[in-house]
Amino acid sequence: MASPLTARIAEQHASVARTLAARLPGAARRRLAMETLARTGLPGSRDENWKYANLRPLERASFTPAALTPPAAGADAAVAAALPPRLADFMRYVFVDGVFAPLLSDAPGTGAARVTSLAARGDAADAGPAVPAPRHEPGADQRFALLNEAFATDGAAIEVTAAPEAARLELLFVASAEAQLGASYPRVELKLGPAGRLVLVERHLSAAGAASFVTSAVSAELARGAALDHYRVQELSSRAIAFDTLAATLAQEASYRLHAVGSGAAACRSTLGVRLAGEHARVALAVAALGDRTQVQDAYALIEHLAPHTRTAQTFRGISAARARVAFNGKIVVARDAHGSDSRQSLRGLLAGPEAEIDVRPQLEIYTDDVRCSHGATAGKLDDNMLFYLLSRGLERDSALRALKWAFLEDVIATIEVPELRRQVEERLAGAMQDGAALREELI
Amino acid sequence: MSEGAKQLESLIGRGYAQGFVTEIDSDTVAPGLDEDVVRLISRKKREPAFLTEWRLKALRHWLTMKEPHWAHVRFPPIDYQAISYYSAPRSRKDGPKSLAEVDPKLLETYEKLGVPLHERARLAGVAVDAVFDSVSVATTFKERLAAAGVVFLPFSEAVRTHPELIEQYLGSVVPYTDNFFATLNSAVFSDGSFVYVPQGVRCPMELSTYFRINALNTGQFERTLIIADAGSHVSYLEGCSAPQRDENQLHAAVVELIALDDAHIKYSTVQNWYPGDAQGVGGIYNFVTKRGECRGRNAHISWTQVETGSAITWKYPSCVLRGAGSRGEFYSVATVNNHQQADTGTKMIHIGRDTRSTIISKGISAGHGQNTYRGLVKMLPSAHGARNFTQCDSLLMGGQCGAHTFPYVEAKNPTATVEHEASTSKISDDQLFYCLARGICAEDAVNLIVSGFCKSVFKELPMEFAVEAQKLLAVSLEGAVG
Repeated sequence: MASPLTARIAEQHASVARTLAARLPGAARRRLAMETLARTGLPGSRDENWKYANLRPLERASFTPAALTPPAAGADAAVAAALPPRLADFMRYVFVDGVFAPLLSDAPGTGAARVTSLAARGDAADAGPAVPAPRHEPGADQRFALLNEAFATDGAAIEVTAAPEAARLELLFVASAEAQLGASYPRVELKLGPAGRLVLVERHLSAAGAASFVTSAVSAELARGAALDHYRVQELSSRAIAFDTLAATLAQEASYRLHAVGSGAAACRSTLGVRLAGEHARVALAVAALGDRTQVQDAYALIEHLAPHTRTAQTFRGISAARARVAFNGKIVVARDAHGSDSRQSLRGLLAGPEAEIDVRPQLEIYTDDVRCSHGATAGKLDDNMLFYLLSRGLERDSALRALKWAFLEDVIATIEVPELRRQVEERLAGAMQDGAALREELI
Repeated sequence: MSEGAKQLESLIGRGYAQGFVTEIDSDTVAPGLDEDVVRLISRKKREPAFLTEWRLKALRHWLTMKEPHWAHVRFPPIDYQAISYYSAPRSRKDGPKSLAEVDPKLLETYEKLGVPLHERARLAGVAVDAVFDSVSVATTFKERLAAAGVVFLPFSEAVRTHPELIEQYLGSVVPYTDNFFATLNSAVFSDGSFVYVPQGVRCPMELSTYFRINALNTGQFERTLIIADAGSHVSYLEGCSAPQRDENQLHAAVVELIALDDAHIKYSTVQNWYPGDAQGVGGIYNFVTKRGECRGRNAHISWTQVETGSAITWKYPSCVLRGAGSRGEFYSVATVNNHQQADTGTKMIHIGRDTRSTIISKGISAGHGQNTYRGLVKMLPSAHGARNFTQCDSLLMGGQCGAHTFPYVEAKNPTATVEHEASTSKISDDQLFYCLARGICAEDAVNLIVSGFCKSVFKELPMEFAVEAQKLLAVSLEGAVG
């Protein structure tokens, strides 16, 4: 039985299906995604893994894509102004409301990494699914990825082959349309061949403070021995609504490091799913989230150990100020065959406002005995002793508090190995902490 | 596989020591549940009108509810209309006036179980309100307790002697709308214990109830209500065992604790219901709602449980910390072997300022057992300066079992602190080797390591319980390492 929301999505999809088909290959996949979605519906707040997310904006959202064609020359002045300074040695590709903007981007690379616009790929891509078939088990919730698949108007297809130097790419997704005019569907399909190496910066930002509705989907396949360093920065405007889904599968000895820093959007929900499918595959997840005012920052990370000797390290640091809610749900599953697996989870939340909320759920589901798994989770305020130490050394209360919060986030920020990116992220966070008056107050 | 472990294999097959059935006539209501059955139960127990009405409200609500399936356990569908909701030993009809009048067969059963009734009760210093199926048949030490002013009665009797207390407190911690199984219990609860400890009284002895499921197809729906008035102290012991049987039996109990200003309630459980055989056939479904409320300032509620039995355990003894400065504790050892499944943990709801809670949970999985810790620590905006510390460790024995940890931390007060840590691992080969090298046999070595793992919980148990618990643990894990 379809809910009113699902019915509305189906209706809006039907109205644009023809336009999408004319522009983008993969009509069969879109239809399948839509059918599955009609059956499962979008998650609701009664779903155990969605209880901390803010799903209310969906009720009034418009799902039709905001943009079908690349922005015309000159129309992108506002977008160009929103772009951060370039990172040295990185190829840059810009997408506006989910559609590739060639005028703002570098030419498609000729080296180890090949970047193609999905729309420009032609019918050849229709031959087989570019992403693994979406999975619908309760654990790995792909429903927003299906929404993306059904409505996406463009996206980046990236293929990386082995090379002496790791390829470096920066993908910028700019949301410029107001939500009532349509949604934006950023999409990345990433394939790393055997021993392929890539440093990927994925950044989501808003042009001119637009209140956009963004649903992004990233899929990554790492072949044997591949290594992906993935930096994810979410800096959307404080009025935007964002849902993202990431699905990664790692083959033998592949290594995936994800560094995610989220400080934007009125309501953001990240759903991350990593499958360690090959022996000795390893993943390191470092997530930082900053919530202020009435923001809701929610993240769910499911890591499945499916092969022996796989490893996980998961770090979460969240600061919730004013009336914000910051939530992190990290689930680790160790399958029966995954003996010799090792997983570490450290989830910490800092409450920095009188009505702030922190929700952390470190979960372990283990089906074999030859494992080492541990997790730690805390929620609370800054340590009084540390604060006293700094005050006794003559620091102003404000700067002492800031220093401590800085140190709190350091576990995640320090993992950013691209110096300019790290500086940009730090500046943004420092700004957020300084003008977010709420972050200063109420810390005893 | 070591030689010692092979020897242990033979021990797995050992039957359930407490598995025997006493044949006595039961006055059993035909299977099925509707308003007439509820009215009948209420009438048989000669309950006041408010209670009948309360049961009926619960039943009507229950009919609108769906069986919950969020727990990490699997079981075939339960036909609630195939269960008989009332069973009383025949001898109850004539109303035994003293132990001498009690059915000798019953006493024999208690004897086998080691219930300290009669002379043994005096020696053990324990007052026993033994629940045989659904109706309490004997209560001892009434005089000593009465002298202290402590009310310790079978629930059905308390309904007649203290209706005002029942009306005031029943359902005030676990309302009849609470959850599927608690609502079912509210409609059809059979009997249980009622304790009221008056202001400033320290209960002169540990109170104890032995539960025992006996008649075939009779779900047991215990209802326990303990009220500790201001400044009082009470320690309550609950122990279970059940006869061997192939039919799954449903057990949906509700326990409500209320602690007023400065009162202290300590509730200890050793649960050893029939777990089913090695193939997972039979066994008790233990779906229990236990909750205590620290209603007064500096009240203190402490739950200690050792869960070794039941085919399925679904149980979350919780504390609502309402009074300022009140304290909640949860100490748990849960063991699963063969095909047992356990989904157990606690909830600590911090409402008052400066409330504190401690959670220590030790899960042991062996065979094909699935053991889940599920816990919630919630700091409400009013819980200034509240603190929680949680530690939950899991021990895995064998490659077919599972250990799962699902904690929830929800903090809404910036001055509150929540700390949670957990680890999962198997018995270390080094530890085992160390013991073996010193001539300790594999079985003893495992017991030694396991009891070390559980030590922080066992030390919270009253002494006689601690001994029993340790023994139970050793029996339920026999042959688990190999």
